[in-house]
Amino acid sequence: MSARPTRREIGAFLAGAALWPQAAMAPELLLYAALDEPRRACALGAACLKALPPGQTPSQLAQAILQSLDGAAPATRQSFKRRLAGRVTEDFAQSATVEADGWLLSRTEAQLYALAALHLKYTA
Amino acid sequence: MLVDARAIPARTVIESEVCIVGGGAAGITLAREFLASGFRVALLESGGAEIDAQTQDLYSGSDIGRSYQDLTAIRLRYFGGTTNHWEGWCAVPDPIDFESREGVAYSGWPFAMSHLLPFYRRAQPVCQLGPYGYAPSDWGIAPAAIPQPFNGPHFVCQVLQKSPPTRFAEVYGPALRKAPRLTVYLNANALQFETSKHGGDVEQLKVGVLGHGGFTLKARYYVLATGAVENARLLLSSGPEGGHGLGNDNDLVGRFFAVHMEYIGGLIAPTDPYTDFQLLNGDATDTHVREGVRREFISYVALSEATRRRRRLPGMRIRLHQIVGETPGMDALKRLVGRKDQGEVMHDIGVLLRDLGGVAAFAGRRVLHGKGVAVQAIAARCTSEQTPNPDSRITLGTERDALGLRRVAVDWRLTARDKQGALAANRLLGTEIGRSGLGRMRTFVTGDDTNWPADLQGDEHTMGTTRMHRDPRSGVVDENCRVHGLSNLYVAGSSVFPTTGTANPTLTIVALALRLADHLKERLA
Repeated sequence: MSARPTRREIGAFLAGAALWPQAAMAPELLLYAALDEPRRACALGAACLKALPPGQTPSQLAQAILQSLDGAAPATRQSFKRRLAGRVTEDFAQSATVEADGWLLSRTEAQLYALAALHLKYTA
Repeated sequence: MLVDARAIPARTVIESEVCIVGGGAAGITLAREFLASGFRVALLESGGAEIDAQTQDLYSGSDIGRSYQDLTAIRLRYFGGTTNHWEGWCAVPDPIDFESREGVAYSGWPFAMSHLLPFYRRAQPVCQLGPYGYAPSDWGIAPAAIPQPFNGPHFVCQVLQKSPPTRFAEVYGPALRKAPRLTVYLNANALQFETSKHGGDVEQLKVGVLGHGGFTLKARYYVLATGAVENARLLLSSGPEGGHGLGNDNDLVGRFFAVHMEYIGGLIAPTDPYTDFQLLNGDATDTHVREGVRREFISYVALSEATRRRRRLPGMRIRLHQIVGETPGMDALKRLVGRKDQGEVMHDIGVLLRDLGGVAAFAGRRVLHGKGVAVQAIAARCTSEQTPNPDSRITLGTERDALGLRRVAVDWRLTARDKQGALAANRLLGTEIGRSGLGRMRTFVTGDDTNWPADLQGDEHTMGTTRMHRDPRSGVVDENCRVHGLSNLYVAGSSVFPTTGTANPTLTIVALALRLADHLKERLA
C-alpha cells in the first residue's frame, strides 16, 4: 500500500463512515470509520505511534488489529465495537498495554488510535 | 502535678524513677500508664500550655537533600505535642508491613503484627475510638458496594477510623496534674543525656530552660519521646563532646529517615461520568453506628497485600477525588432554599437567572442518570511507602539554637526502588481501571528514571530514625525499644518503625507506648 491514501480511498472511507458495512473498503479505512471520535483518537494516536514499534504502516496496523479480533473484518459497526471491547478487556487482563503520553491503553486500542493518527496525517 | 521549669532554681537536681522526655501522644500515653503504679514519674515538656514562637523555633532546621517540609510547621512543641493539631485519622498497618520482604532491603520488624494486636485494641480508647475493626464490613460496607476493580485481587478498600481528634493534653492533662507521684515539667528542654563512667547506662539528663538556668534530672529509666526528628537529634547531641552521639556505635542514629510520599498518581477519565466514587474518596467522612455510637470513618483504596507480596511492591494507598463540573445556578438555588450556607440573596438570584440553562441541564441529568453532576475526571491521590534507605537521614547542622544545641539538617532521599515501586503500582492501577471498564487512566508517574511528579511531597509522618532491630548492627533500639548498649534508655514514637507501610502512624505510636509501659513496669517491679 502507498503511504498516502488516494482520493478514491478517502472517498471510500467517508462513505464507509456513513454506510457500514463497506466490504470493498481497505481494512484500515474500515477500522477508522468505526471510531466514535476520530479527531480525539488522532490526538492520542500521535503518542501511541511513538510508544508502538516504529515504522508501522496503516496496513500493518490494521492487519494487527484485525488479527487480534480473530482475523476477519467485522460485519457491522456494532459487532466490531463489541469485539473490540472484548479484545481491549482481554488486553488489560493480560497486561498487553501501551503507555502513550501517560495514558494506560490496551495494545489493540493503542494500535487503533495510531492508525487514526496516520490517517489524520494523510488527510490533513 | 504540673511545674513550670522556669521556677526551678538553676543547678537543681531532681530525682525520679522514670523520666519521659516529650509530652505528645507517646509521652502522655506512657505517663498515664504509670498513674496507678506508685512509681515516681517526671514528664518533661519543652513548651508550655500554649504555643510559643521562641520554643517552636527550637525545631527549626535545614534541608540538605530533597526538599522537605518546614519542621516548625509540621510539629507542635507544647504540652500535647503535635496532637494539638492532629486530624485524628487512625489506621492499622497491613501484616506484610511487619514482615521481612523479599526485594525490600532492611524491611521487617522484630515481631509480627499479631504481637501488637492486643496493644492496638488498648490504643483504641486512648485515641477515643470505638471498637477495634478496620475491615470495610466493620463499617457497613458490603463487598457489592465497592466498585470494580477495588474489591480485589490487586486493589482493595480499606478504612481509617476518626478520632474526635484527641487533644492529648486537654483530655489527659487534668488527670496528670492531679496525680501525686507524677510531675509534668513545662518549659523543660532535654539537652543531653550523660552516661556513667563505664558508659553502659544514662546517669542523668541535662535540662535547659529558655532564658533561665536549667536543671538536672536523674532517673532509673529514661524514655525519649520527642518525635522522629528530635529523637535522633537528642541522641546525636548526647555523649562525650566531639563524639558520634549516644547509641550510635554503628552509625545508625538518624538514618532511615522516612515519610509517606504524597502525589497525584494520575487522572482517570471515567467511561460512565455518573459512576459514584464517593465511597473511595478518602477525604469525605462517612458515619456508621458501632456498638450504639455513630462514629466517623473514611474509606479509600489500597494495593492488596497479596499483590504486594507477589509483585514485591511497596505499599500504596489511593484516594479517588472526583472532579465535577461547576453548577453555579444550582449552588445559588440551594443557598436560596436554605440547603446550603446562605449567601447574598440578590446576588444568588442573579447567578440563578444567568445560569437557568445549567439548572435545566442539572435537572435533566438528575432525571436521566439519578445524579445531577457528571464526573469529568477522577484524580488518583496516592500515598506511597518509602522503603528503608540508610542514606535518607537526620544529621546535625552547624547552626545552633537558643539553647546551644545544633540544629538538624534533613537529608531526605528517595531511591530508584521507591520510584520503580510507585511506577509499577500506578501502571497496575491504570491497567485495572481499563480491565474493569471503569475508564482509562493517565498516569503522572512515568519513565524508568528517578523523576517524580512535580507535586510530590513528603508528608508530616516522620519515621525510622532510631529503627528497631534485635541486632545492634541493624538497629538503634532492640525489640523492647531500649537503645542498644544502654541499660536504661528507651525510645518511644515512630522513630522506632523499621518499615513504615502507608498507615497513619499515631495509633501504632500509642500501641507501642502502651507496650513499652508494660515492659518498664515489669523492670521497675
